Amino acid sequence: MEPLKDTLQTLQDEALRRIESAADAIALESLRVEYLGRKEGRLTQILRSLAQLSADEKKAIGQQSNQVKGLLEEALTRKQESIEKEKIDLSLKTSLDLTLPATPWMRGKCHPLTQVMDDIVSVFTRLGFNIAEGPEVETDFNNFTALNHPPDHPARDSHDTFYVKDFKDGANVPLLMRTHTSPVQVRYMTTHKPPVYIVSPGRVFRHEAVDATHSYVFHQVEGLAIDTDISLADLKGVLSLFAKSLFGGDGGIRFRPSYFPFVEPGIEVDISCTLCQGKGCSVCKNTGWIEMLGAGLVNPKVLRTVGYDPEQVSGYAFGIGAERVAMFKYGINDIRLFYENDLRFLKQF
Amino acid sequence: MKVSVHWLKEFVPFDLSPEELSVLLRNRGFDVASITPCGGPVQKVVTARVETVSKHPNADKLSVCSVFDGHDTLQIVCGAPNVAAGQIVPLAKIGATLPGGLVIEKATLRGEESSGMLCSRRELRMAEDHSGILVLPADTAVGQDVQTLLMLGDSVLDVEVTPNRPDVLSHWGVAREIAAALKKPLQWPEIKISKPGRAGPSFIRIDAEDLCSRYTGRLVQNVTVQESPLWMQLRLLRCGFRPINNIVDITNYILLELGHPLHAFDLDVLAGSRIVVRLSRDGETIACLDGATRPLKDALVIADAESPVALAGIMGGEKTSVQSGTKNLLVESAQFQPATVRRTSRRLGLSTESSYRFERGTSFEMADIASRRALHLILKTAGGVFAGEQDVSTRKPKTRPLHVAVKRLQELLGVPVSSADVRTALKSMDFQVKATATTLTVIPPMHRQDIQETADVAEEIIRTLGYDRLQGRLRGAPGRAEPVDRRRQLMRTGRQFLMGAGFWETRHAGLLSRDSAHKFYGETLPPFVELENPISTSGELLGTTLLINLLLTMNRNLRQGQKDVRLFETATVFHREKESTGERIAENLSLAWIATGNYQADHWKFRARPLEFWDAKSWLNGLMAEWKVTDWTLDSADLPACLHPQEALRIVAAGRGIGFIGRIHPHQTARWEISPDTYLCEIDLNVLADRPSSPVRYQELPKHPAVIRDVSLVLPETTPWADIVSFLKKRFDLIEQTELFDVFKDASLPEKHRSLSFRLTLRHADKTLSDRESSDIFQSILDELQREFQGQLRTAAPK
Repeated sequence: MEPLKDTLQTLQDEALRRIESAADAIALESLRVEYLGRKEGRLTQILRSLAQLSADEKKAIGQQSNQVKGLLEEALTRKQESIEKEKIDLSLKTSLDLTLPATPWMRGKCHPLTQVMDDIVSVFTRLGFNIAEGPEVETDFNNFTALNHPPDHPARDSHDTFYVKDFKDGANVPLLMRTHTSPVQVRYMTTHKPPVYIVSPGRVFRHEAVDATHSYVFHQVEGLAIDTDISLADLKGVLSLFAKSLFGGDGGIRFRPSYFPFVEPGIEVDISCTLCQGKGCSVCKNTGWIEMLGAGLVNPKVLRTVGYDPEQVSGYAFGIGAERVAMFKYGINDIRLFYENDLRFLKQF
Repeated sequence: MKVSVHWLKEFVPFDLSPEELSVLLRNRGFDVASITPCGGPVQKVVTARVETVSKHPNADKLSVCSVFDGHDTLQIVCGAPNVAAGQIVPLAKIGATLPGGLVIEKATLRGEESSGMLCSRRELRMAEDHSGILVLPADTAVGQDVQTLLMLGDSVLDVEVTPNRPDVLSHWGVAREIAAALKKPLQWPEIKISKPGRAGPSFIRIDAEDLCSRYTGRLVQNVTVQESPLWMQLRLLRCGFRPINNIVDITNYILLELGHPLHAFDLDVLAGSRIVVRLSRDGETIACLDGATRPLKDALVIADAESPVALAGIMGGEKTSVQSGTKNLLVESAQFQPATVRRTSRRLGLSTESSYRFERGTSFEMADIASRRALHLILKTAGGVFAGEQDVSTRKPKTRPLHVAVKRLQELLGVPVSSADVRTALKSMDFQVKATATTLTVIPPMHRQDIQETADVAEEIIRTLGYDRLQGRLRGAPGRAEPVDRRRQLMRTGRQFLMGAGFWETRHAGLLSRDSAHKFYGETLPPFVELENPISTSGELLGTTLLINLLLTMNRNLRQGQKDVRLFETATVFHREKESTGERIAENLSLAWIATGNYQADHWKFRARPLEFWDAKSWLNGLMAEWKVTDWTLDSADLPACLHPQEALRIVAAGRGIGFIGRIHPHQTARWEISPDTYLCEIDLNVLADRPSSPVRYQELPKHPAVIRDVSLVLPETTPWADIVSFLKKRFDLIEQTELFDVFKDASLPEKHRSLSFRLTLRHADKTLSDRESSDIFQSILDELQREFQGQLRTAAPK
């Protein structure tokens, strides 16, 4: 009886000591098997030998060996945890060169002209304008005549035009590639009653030799508002918001009289140069202003053509060249870059 | 249009720098494109005659001249190679100042004294020419101040005049704008001519009455055709005209001065000494002043008794032109219909200073004034006798009073405007204004044919008051908000998806060359819409596909050294569509992409993998999912020739093909110089946009667990995977998902067979499947698959 008790005590001391000094998880596991293994464990064997003892002895030794078992298990768990912690602590010391290149990601972007047109359009859709679009092949009537460019009018000179073979309109006039997005206005007004608030983004064509500042294709965003009480003050308000939204700054704009047949008064709109805050620099040729777009009040002749009464309604229209905006905004000096689609260019926006 | 500031000051006095003047003009609607100084200023530079020239004793390249300045004879050392005795030249005397501040002092040059300097054009800053001294006309008086004589210190402004303002296409017209802005009176140029000697017979007939509203002819006898006076030549040169002879120069001078084009005929060559304004007859031609003979067709011409002698309003004829021997003149000043001049000018491709003004509109009154001013100058500079005149008009312009409400002007302009403001502004521009209680009666001056209604008057008001008065007002648009257009939505979401998948958006003009169309389509082209007047053969067809330009752009980027290139475009394509009444142009919105290189770029840690068809297919699936299009399929019908016959599919929706996806045909790769691992796709968005979009309906989340089973089936290679999926879907509604995870082929399998391994997810919506139930279902799936497809089970390990 006594020897058994001592044996248990010795086993406990020895086991605790060995657990404490176990080197790693494997050593710890073999200690667990050695002492507590279900079949061959030394404590298990001792417990198995209790069968030969009296009931009192069984009880006393049983109690003691359960205590030993508990202690050993607790020691194993504690040691286990401490080994794992040491392992983690060790792994935290392994240094990694985090400057190595990241996994490549592939994400494309919209063309800069799309970005600019989306930006412009959103200025006006936020105000409640609808987006209206139209075909790129147009009739002479929609592109010119209805917009107060009658046949044989010199204002047509500034719209060198591509004509389409084999196709004519109802009046037997050849179809053409639209020279501006303004025919969309005609289409919209002839099918809608005032009030009208639209923006028309789109691709347009002019029969022009290509160089750094000219392209036979370009993009416009045109706006049109027709209502019972529209004045030049409204035009100045929205264009100022446009300037502020696209270029930042204080939204300073300047109107100058000009001429576009479909508006009267016709206005050339300059924006305050945001590169020099209007102080004058090489980009604005020291004027502090950048020529940006054409606008005006819709010519009553146009209103009458689409069946509106110029005594009852008035309106404004403006046409913004997306290339011009993008070139100023990003400092691009060659319009051809937009259509070459060189990735080294596209990736900059 | 070039205008001389010096010349403008003859009509209106002003004291503005050229820069201030251009600001003034810009604020009135006339941009100034450039300002060019015309020499000077100089002081104490006078005209002088070279009396003698002798070689400098000590210098090869210098001459010693004696020069007479009207008072004294001076010795001048001169380095110019062209100096010669008898010349009249500009002499900078001792104490003279030249442009740039150079002061002339007495000097000794290699031992010879020089009391001044003879000047070249460059020294007077008239031009860059420094090859010799400036030689003035032989009849120039000596001792004159050169600054005055050569009008140095002048500047030429290049003024941009908009097409609505032909009345400003002259010095007179520009001066009128300046006078209005500065509120100063205008001074008419001098016209002093007496009545012609006798009233002769009629010599003008207007046959084309609709096309010519006025024709004045004035006859001058016995003129001396010679060089124009220096001042006239200088002014013409400054405004871009080449001096020819005094008569031709005067017609050009008047065009620049008053804006009205004139023409002078040699009366003695004019058959029948008469003028007929008529349309050209069939087969007529005219030899023009520029030496070209032009065929005429329904052109308005000025004819003599026999044949056309001038293209009305465009250019005179060679035969009747004023030459050095011309003695007797007929001076034409007319008003032609703008449209007819423009049509003929465009048809002949012949645009002149004259046609430019006539097609924009000339003034009825000015036709006569300009003619009389020309006579004044002719008689003054070419001598001769005013021998006759005739003035024929077919209709006179009427003044049209406009009734303008001041309130309406305010409403349009958005600035407070008083009745007095309006009157002051309009009167400054020669409008007549009568006020009543609420409206103004406005009579525009005759030269303002562009003023037709209230809006035109509004522009005049704000142009005079200045736009600085205008305050912006920002209001929302109380329009009818419409739902977003489905086409734009498809375009926007398509872009977003493709950008996320690494594609870059491109934009092209959409025009194609026939050559590139053949490259893409082969021998036979589909019907193209063509341009009548392409700029070059590189863009004569309207694109039927976006892929051709994408292939060209791909090639350009590869040549720049790019490797993994993914590009897309959304734009319009054009098709010819047959209709009952003929053909129409169908414009469709198309989305296309092209990709080459690796699916994932090379990396130090992860191996790169080249693109495969499955990547392309996955982007297509992604697009359709993005667009929430569910009822679409793929088949291999009608594949275009540009695609690989084994690695391409047609995209079908709404029962029709809407596009293609696949690998580029190996024959195409060399043609476009791109890699064979290139994949393409094009989708017609119109078909998708025209269909009602299927609304999203929320599905209850599953409440019961799924049972998962793997199957490996050995099948003939020719059995498409899609058949198995659709069979399972049709037969077993408990199958929630079928995922292929392995396709395997080796010698252990029967010839031309492959093993497909896939995972089935079974789920009952209302209950948990028991082991027994799921095993039974699974067994029947296996049985049916084997029966349907003659498949052999490889393994069937329940998990």
